[in-house]
Amino acid sequence: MNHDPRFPLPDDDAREWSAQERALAEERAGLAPQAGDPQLRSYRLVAHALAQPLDEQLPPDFARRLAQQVERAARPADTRLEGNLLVLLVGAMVLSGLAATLIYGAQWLPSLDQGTAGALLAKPWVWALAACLGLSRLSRHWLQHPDQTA
Amino acid sequence: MDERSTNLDRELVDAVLRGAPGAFERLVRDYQGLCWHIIHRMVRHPEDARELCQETFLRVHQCLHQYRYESALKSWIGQVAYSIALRHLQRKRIPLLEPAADGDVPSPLENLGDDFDLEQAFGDAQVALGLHAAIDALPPVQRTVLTLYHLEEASIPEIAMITGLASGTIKSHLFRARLRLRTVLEGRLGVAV
Repeated sequence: MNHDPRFPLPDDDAREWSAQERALAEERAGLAPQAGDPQLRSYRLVAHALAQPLDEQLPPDFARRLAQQVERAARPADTRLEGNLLVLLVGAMVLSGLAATLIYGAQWLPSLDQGTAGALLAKPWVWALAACLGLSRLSRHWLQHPDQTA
Repeated sequence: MDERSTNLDRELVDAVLRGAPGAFERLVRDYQGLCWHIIHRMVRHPEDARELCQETFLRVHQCLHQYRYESALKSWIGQVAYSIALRHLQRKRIPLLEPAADGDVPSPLENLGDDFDLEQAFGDAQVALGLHAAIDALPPVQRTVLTLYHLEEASIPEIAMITGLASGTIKSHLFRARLRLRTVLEGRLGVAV
C-alpha cells in the first residue's frame, strides 16, 4: 500500500492541493468564508464537514466498564464457594458414615471380627475415634482459613 | 514528540503497568476518541466498531510492557486500532482502497467549474448530508486518513506512524479524496459536470 503514484504533483494539482490546505487552515482558524474564490470556498465546506464529530459515539461508561473487566480478569479466581462446598460435602459424608455405622453397625460389624484389623474395625470406639480425628482436622482447617468460612 | 508529552505518556504507562487504581480507565478515556474515529471510519458498522475498540484496548493492556516510547503513546495506540480494523476488513474481504484509476477516466479536476452558489451551500442541510454520504462512500483507508487529518488533527508523520503508509501516499489519499468530495459537492449544487 506504500505506492505513491501522484506525489509530487503537477502544477494544476499542486494549486489544488494548496487550496485544500489553505481552506483547512482557514476553517481551523474559524475565519469567515470570503467571497471570490469558489474553489477555496468549496474546500471550506469539505473541511467543515470532515471536522464534524461522528454521529455515533462509544457509550459514556465505556472506559469504566473496560477497566473493570480488565481488573476482574487480573484478579485470581475466587474459589471460596467451591472450597466451602467441598468441606460441607466431606463433612456430610463423614457424618452419614458415622450414623450408618451406629445404626446398622451391629448387623455387619461382627462379620469383620476376623484377624487384628477386623477385630479393630469391629470396635465401635475405633469409628468414634476416627470421627473425632476427622472433625478435629476439619476444625483446624476452618481456624486456619477463616475467610473460606465467611 | 516533545518532552512534556513524553513525560505524560511515561507517567501514564508506568501507572498502568504497576496497576495504579484508575490508571487504565484514564488511558482508555484519553484515547477512546482516537480509536473510535479510526475504527468506525474503517469498518462503518457501529456494533463491530465497539467490539473492535474493546479488543484494541485489551490488546493495549496486554502489550503495554512492549511500548518503548519510540513514538507518542497516541500513535502507538492508533497503530493497534488501525491494525485491528484492517485485519477485520481483510477477514471480511472488504476492499481497502479503490481500484487504480484507469488512464481513460478523466481527472475530477476537469469536471469542476467556478460558478455555483456557495452562499446557499453553507446553510444547506441537504448539502451537508450529501457531503457526509460522499465521505461514507470513500474507500476505508481514504476515509480514515481524512478523519485522522481533519478531525483528529494528526500530522502527516503521525498518520504515517499509525497506518504504516508512506507520507507521499497519505498526501495522495488526502488530495484525491478531497478532490472527489469537492466534485460531489459541486455536482450536487448544479455545476456543469
